[in-house]
Amino acid sequence: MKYRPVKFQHLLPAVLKPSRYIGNELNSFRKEISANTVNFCLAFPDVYEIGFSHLGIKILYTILNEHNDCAADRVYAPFPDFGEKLISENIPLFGIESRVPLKDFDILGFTLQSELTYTNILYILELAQIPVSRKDRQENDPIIIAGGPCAVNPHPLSDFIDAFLIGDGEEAIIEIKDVVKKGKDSSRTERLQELSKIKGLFVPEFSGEKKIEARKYMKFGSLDKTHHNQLIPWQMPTHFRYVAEIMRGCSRGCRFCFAGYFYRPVREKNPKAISSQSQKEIENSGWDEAALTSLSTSDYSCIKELMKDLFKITSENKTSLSLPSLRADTIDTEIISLLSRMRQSGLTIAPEAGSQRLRDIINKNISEEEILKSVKIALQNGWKLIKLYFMIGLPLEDDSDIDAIIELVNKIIDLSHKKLRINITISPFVPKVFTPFQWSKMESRSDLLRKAKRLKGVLSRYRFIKVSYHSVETSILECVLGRGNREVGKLIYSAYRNGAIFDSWREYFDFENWQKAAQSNNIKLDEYLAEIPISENLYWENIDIGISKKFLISEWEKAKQKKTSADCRDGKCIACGVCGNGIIPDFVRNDDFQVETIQKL
Amino acid sequence: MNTQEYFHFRLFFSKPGDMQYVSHLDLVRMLQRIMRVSKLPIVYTQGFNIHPKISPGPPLSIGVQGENEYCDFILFRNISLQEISAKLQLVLPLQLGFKKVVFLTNKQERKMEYFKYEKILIDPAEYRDGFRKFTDEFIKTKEWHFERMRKGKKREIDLKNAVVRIEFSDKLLMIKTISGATIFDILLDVYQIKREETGKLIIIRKELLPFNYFSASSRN
Repeated sequence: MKYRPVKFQHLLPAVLKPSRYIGNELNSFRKEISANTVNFCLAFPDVYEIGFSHLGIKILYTILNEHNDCAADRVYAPFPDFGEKLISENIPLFGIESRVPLKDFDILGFTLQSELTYTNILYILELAQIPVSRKDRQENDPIIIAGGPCAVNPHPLSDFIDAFLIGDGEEAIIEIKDVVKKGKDSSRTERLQELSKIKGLFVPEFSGEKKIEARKYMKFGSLDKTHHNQLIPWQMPTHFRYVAEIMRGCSRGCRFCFAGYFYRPVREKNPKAISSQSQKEIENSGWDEAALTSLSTSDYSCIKELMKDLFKITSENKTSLSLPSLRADTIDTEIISLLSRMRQSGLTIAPEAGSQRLRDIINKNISEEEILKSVKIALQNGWKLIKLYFMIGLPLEDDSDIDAIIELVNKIIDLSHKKLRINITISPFVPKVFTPFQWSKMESRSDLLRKAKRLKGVLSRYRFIKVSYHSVETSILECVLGRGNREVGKLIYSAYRNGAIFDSWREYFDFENWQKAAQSNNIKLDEYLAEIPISENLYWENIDIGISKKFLISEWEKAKQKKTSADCRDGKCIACGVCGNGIIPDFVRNDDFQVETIQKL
Repeated sequence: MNTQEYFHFRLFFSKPGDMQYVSHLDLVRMLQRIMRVSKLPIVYTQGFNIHPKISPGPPLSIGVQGENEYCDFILFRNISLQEISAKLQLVLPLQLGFKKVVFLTNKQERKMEYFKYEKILIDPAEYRDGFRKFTDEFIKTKEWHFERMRKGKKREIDLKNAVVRIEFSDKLLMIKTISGATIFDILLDVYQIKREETGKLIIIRKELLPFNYFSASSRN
């Protein structure tokens, strides 16, 4: 019988953290799933604690549920112990609120935040008893949609996903809902055909070579968007705090950073809206921590005014405020002292490269002077912890750049007289699509391991330094899946059949699953890691996120000449291509908190 | 020396249904949060992580529902029980059931050791016949030695000392000491049901009983 909730509670005493599966969170909508509504189930392909922290799903969840003609539920990847039980007892995977099987929903929507979650998508489909390959789906199977950052290269997952939503989902999700509502009596194929007509949707079966333009939500900064109280979970998620998204997009133009280009143009939220929503949430829901999120929080036009406003609210309510994504070059005494009053005591700096030469190549425009200055200010305010992020294997890097990391860290140690704890994270560089480095090769496994070992060996000597580094193999996988074509779909399928799930988890990731899969499909992983000649057609050529290929090529050339590019926020447009046809940056200016837009120069 | 007078209260609530899968720690976090929202004159802890100063009662294991659980909190201003109840009922999640608030006058009542016993009700579902049989066996036996590992050491307990009262009609009702042996130790050793198989049972802690509840003659 359709829409009947499943019984699964008897399995819970046998699994870890059973409250992952009971839903029942405070402020959840818990709408009835029935034939009277268009039913969405939003899926995050990782475990509850991680998926719950993701803001994107919560935004779409709120938008959908505020419409009377649809209902949105959520699902997170069952941890393997629960997954096994579901399979052995033949219980189909279900929405966390309604407990209705996923296969009874009209649409199952995945968010693609990381390539390492791709096998979990197959896992969820299989647990839901929905055919993993889209070609095997029948009339009554839900339409499987995927969105989020990784959707910009849909080809590796085209065998499994019916429709990809490229770009911002706030408006497109309602258009999708309307198409499915109208098409309740048509065939599944007809519904997919109609979906392919929506701007920003790539439907593998119907879109062909058509150019798909990413959606951009231009009402992000508006004052009048009402805000439903954020979900409060029973199970502790990785980030247990009220999240206020203050800005989308970044104008800095760091050449390795996909998110910076993908989320352009920069759109800032009105500071009064942020303050009043935060106040309401903190008072009504009792959050003991609030976070301002964006790609580069200290770039927000009114950051100090906003912090002062929020300081009043947070101190009255004994809530601490955290600002991840601060940049070292915009940190000054005032910001640090405001943060100190809000009980922050750790500074995060991401130089990414140790030498100025390499920082210029990657266009990470912070100087050593700025880095050391921000460390000094932090020390003066009694801060005890510095987190540093570096990448290795960057384009045009050589061993002197690795030495430069060591020199920089030593300078910080000297400045701090060994009073600071220093946590260093080292990640292998992965060339990302739609960045100037998308043509770059990925450095070989042996060189990456050599460089990582050298850094760990030298820096781990100090008791107060902790070095962690991201696995080289998972980074290689990210590169293959990120820059892959449709052939890679076979790789994903075989790896999954070999047992690959939870690939972002150290305890589950096994590179052999992928190597065997590559062998059995005659796929050479190294081909996806190699440098791509500019003349060659890219697999993701049919997607347009607004950044022109000409611009990316010119940035790649500038990188080779060690030339930097300016931040367009400073007034000089460098013609990345995203502006035009109503798409422009939306900055909040200082004067009387009025919203002003900057015209393209 | 702090001359501030503090007023101690106890909130009684239930933890029914799906809430049995929420861990004790997660429950405490939720209670801290609702105390914050209640706008009551709550005393907070000092230090880096400032939160309402609350003392929960003995933890409920995952898989056990609670009908009369409690959590103590401290106010720095005395207000009426009526007002406290009204404010807490507004903020306590619906998933937990508000029961009552009492004013604690006696310091002894505030101690963890005050409640020595718990009254447990188990609905055995499909294991009904086995439960009848094993309960009779347990009652007839004079001593019931049970071994378990606690903190890396092997400890021996006589379950007949831990279980003060036990009876089975169509459900199992027992009164046992809170410390010593857990409900799951008894389910395993007496009823031969492993922890991962207990999902089909309904296990409810009906109430907590104080240390002076029994006289020596009422044991069976």
